[in-house]
Amino acid sequence: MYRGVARLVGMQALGHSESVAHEFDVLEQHWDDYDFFFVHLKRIDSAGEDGDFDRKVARIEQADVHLPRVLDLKPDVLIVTGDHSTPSKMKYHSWHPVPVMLWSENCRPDGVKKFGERACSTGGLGPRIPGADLMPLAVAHAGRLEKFGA
Amino acid sequence: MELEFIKQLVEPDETSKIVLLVLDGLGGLPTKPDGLTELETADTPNLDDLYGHSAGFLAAARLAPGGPRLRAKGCGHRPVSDVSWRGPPGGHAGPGP
Repeated sequence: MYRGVARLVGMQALGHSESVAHEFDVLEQHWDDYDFFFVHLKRIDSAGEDGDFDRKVARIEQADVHLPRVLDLKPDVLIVTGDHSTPSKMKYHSWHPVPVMLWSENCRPDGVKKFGERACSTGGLGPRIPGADLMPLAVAHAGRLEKFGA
Repeated sequence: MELEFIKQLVEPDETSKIVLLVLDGLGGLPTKPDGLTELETADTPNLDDLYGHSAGFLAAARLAPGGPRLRAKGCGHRPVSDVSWRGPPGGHAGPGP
């Protein structure tokens, strides 16, 4: 399903996910081949759907361990977010808004020291933006969006 | 934002790199009224350090989603209005008009 959606929006699916570490291996291997990368870590959602709070926490921490590998590649824009909320107390996808952080040399930092839902609720790009507006923000922060009406 | 209009403003530049790291189902809830969410509970020094140099917001949802529409949303599509997920009989699913 994920590969089909990726193709639908014009992306190419790379490799098969064998582990979290392998997803970042694939990113590194293809870094010179593309200008946009969508890296999707599924297992956090699975823990939420199982109602396992502690395992969801552990899998978020597992993702955190690999973040320096992305930063070492020196992306122009890095966005970390979720595709939806899966509260473990509810055991299913929910309507709750999703935290987003956007890093680039051109961003205006919030200066907040802990990434989380409540921190992002007062974020400098918010408080709430439709998820579909994420890509225009990414392209703008990459310096690839011309002025309009000039 | 009007995506079709924005597409006209995008400058081709294959030298800049954008990474969208999606932690599936990231958003959560506390298990008690004064508690923390899963993300707020997690020990995430790298994410926290990066957020200190980043800008944040909450991406609005309003609806409890199924799967595929959410992946398309992160890539600029509007899950409810932009994409037809059912093609004509015998056809294939594809972007709506």
